[in-house]
Amino acid sequence: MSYLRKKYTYNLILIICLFVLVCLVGISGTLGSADISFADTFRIIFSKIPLLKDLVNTEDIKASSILIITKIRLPRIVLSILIGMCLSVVGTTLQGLFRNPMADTGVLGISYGAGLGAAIAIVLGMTEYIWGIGLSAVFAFVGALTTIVIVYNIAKTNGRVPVITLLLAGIAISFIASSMTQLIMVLNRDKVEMIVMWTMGSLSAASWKKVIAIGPIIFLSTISIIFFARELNMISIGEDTASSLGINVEKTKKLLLIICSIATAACVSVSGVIGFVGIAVPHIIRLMVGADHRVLLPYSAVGGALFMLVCDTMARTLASPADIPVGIITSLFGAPFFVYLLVKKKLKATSNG
Amino acid sequence: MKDDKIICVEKLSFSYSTRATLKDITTQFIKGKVYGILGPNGSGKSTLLKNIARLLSSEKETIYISDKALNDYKRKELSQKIAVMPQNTSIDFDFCVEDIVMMGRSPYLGRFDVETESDMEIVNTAMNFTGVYAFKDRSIKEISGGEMQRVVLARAIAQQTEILLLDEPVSQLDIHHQLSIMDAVTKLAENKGITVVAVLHDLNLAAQYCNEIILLNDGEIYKTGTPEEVLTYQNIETVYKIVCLVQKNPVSGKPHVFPVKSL
Repeated sequence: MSYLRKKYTYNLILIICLFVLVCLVGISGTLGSADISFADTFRIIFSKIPLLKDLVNTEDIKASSILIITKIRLPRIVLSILIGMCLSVVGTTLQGLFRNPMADTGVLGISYGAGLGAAIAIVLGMTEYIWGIGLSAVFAFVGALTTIVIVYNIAKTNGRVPVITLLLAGIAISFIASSMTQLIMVLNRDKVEMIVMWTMGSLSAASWKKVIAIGPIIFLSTISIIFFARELNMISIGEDTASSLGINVEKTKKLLLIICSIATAACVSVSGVIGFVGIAVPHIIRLMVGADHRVLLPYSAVGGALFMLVCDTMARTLASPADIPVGIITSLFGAPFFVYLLVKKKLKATSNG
Repeated sequence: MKDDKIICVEKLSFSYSTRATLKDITTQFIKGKVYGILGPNGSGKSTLLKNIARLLSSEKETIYISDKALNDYKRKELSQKIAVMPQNTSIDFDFCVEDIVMMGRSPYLGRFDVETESDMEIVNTAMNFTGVYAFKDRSIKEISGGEMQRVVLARAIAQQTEILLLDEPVSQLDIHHQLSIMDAVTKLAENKGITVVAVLHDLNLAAQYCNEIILLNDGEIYKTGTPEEVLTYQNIETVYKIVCLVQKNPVSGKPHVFPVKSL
């Protein structure tokens, strides 16, 4: 069925998914070492929403519960939703843009560049905070952007950026960045633990200030990418075709790459490198709704948010009170899925040939 | 009459790296005619087509579309003027047929626009025209190479341009669909005044359907003219390096080439 005729169904399902997301926020809020009931969690959340706050009464709830929900769990939940949404949308965009199912912020080196930036800041002892954002986060942001500029310029030939060259340059720079990070870790054994949090990805240091700092960036970039859905569709079926259909391919590629890099840099700067979300989620969503970016992008946003929220809830509750870096959970989920995709592809190839 | 010349190519040279692929090409295309670009492998047929479509471009201004330099066109403006059917039509991603054809309307849509009823109508007409309407809801991953070529042609037609550039449009089609596509394309030229430029391999198909033939050899124009003027046994022997016999097709009266052996 074509997109235009299925549009209303798609919108309806999307609204249902959003509703599920809201429910999960409540469930995730009740889980944790302090015992707070599902109903209380929702009452606390609603009491903080401007229009709804007069309708709920939170006088009978313990002040400590309110504090745990609003100051500890909620910012972390919101942050995980934002980051999941962003990584997944960026992954979808890069895969469409480069017509390559492996494309991801990791492959392009953006994530590892950010990790290296953070490691350098930690080793240099720059632990100051500006408006709640650590200098290491600022370094991660700079590292991510520097990496993509280097990768892009290596790949650029005669004013064009061929996909294969870009991916290969990305992989090469990724290796350099991650080896340098590891070298820094070996030489600074006392700071290994702090750096490890960056390379594995964790949301344990979530705060409202971080949400406010990266929220608008992630929100704006996701929305603007969704407005490029039609261009992405045409580029994903071929660059020459897109050109002859009136798309300025090189300009669009550059613009989307910049948006993706900034958004990823923002994510990595608060959570470290979280792997596989950008590959696994877009693939699952593509299997379910097809390759049309007008559907794929919004669904990836919601799917990524759901996936990340579940993973991070597991990260903070599975081994409570210890906090497992969420990057480990996402990779543990994501990698087997990748194997599944490969096996499925292999079976298909054998049955055809 | 100058107005009738829709595409003018003046001294076009193009090279991929160091080796020149096109050398000093000068030719014109008249509105409403069907042109066939012929020539052996590597003679620069697709390169010429891609230069006209500005998918490849040289810095010098050598191509004019409706008396305006090709490089002065905006991408979107050009896509309302020229539609291209590429040689390789395979697509890896999972779209349905109708969505692919609908992409032909994007030159007329702004970023925030939504496809209208009239876009739908144009798309439906185009799909009927190339005979793909019956499977418009199928995924393009489930259809054959020949069906895909007809889907991509429908997209090019939905673009509603004055110029249609086809790079080997019938390479994967059976004889029935080869003729039906060429019939359809010829009809577009006759009824709507669309200029069709097609890269072809089949000399006899070209002889039958094209008003004019451009025979390329090693990046240069060897001969242009009507099929009768170009498809002579001397020309074919020199360019394709084969021995052949050329006779008149008893039905169409066009030249018909019987290949004998390679030289």
